[in-house]
Amino acid sequence: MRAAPAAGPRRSIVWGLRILFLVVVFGGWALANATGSISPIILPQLSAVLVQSVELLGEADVWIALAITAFEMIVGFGIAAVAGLLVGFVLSRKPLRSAIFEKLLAWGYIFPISLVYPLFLIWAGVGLPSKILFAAASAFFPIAYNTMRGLSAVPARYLKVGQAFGASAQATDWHIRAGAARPMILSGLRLGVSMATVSVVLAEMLGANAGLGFMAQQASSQFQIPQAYAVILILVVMTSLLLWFMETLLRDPNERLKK
Amino acid sequence: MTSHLNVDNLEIRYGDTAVEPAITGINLEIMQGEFVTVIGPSGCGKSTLLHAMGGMLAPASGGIYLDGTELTRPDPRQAAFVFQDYSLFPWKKVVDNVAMGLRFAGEDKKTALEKAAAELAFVGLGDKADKYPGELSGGMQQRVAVARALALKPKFLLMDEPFGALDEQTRRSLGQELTKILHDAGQSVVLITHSLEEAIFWADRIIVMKAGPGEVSKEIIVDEPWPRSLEFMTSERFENLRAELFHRIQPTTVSEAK
Ligand SMILES: Nc1ncnc2c1ncn2[C@@H]1O[C@H](COP(=O)(O)OP(=O)(O)OP(=O)(O)O)[C@@H](O)[C@H]1O
Ligand SMILES: [Mg+2]
Repeated sequence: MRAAPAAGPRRSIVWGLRILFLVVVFGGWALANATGSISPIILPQLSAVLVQSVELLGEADVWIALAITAFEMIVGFGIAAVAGLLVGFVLSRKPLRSAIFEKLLAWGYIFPISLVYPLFLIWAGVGLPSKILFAAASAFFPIAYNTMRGLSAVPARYLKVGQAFGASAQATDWHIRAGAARPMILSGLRLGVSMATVSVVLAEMLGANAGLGFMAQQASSQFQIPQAYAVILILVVMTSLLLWFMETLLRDPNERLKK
Repeated sequence: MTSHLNVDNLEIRYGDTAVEPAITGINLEIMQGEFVTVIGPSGCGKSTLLHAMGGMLAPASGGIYLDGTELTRPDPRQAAFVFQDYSLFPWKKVVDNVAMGLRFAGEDKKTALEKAAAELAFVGLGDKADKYPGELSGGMQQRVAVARALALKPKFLLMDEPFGALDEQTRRSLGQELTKILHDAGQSVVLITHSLEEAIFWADRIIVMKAGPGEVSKEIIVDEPWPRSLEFMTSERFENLRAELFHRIQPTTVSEAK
């Protein structure tokens, strides 16, 4: 008997191996603690980190810091999404415009904006606004670039079908251009989400007075290593949940069909 | 009243008027209920002619008339297209693809979806309405494209090598099945094909074109009654038609004939 067409490995196996991977990582950590082969300044006791995490979650301060960080990520991304979609759409309207700005957006996309983070501190102060603007600036470029590229590179054959079936200008924009560009726009938005989260954490560590990144930075500069690890653990879990949620929200319904 | 589509002394040029026209001096009349096939060497202007018939190209001179009224822009209720390349929108479900033309024509969503579902059933894909085009085989996708065109109840159905990208086997069986239901429904069809067999077997009339510039070199009536049996394909008459077409679409024979 022949196997069913490539369905990929079974889900249960994949999940089993993922869990095994985590067990190996944390087991290795615990083992290193037990043998004392790595200094606790670098790698604290796993149990201490876990105890710290639980303790921290009982403190209101941590929840406030978490809310601040999440707020900065979400608002920063929101601003980037609105601005990026709008700018991308406007630039895609005329070939001359997209030709002029394509390189510029692509360059903004790869430029490490963190280099100019001090400027954000000067303009917007050490509080929340500088984090939000910095996240928005980082996430803006992939969103605007992908939106513009997606909308201006609609295959001619789809436009021909629209013409043949009497599509109005608005129907062409909405049913054809937007549909054809959707996978690219969504991937721009997903990139934007991860840019926004990374930027917020980085900014909080580089110069801030609140947020989880700031807490982690404070703890490590005071050599409270288990606490620094615990804050980072909370940050990782929160960010992962946020990314997972946004990924699900921004998934292309057609994605599963791509070969 | 039966409709008729007139091509009147049509000339189409792409771009600069100084270059040779893509097609010139084309005169045709196609009656409602007729199944017309168009055959000719590659580049002779078959697609150009079909696009012009659907109001997609502005003539350099002459014109296209539907029941006496000039067709100046695409009107899928008069003449609807089935394109060669997979032209379904991959981001829309099959049923939404079929409803699309009706929606563009201003029908409300509910009516459009009902009509689309009925048309899908007509081409034998009633159970695929909620799939995406990428989940269908090439042959099924072209059937959906046919349903999309038929949903508008066009007076004329214009098909540009709709089975060109399919394998031999699918091409034959799908072609047989679709042409049968189109004939049974009395649908007027203009079909471009590269295949001599298709051009003869399905046609009430064959339009043979030649290249440089694109012109109609001959019209052949195939007055074999319907429904046609497969025996027709092996008959001497079919063989003679086939031989004639074969010689006519060879570029060298065409230039000698000039
Ligand atoms: N968009 C276009 N712009 C300029 N020239 C074109 C265009 N489309 C077709 N032509 C030219 O017009 C002529 C006829 O082309 P057309 O596509 O109508 O031929 P065809 O008979 O359909 O060929 P095939 O059998 O290969 O599909 C060719 O010389 C071609 O190069
Ligand atoms: Mg062609």
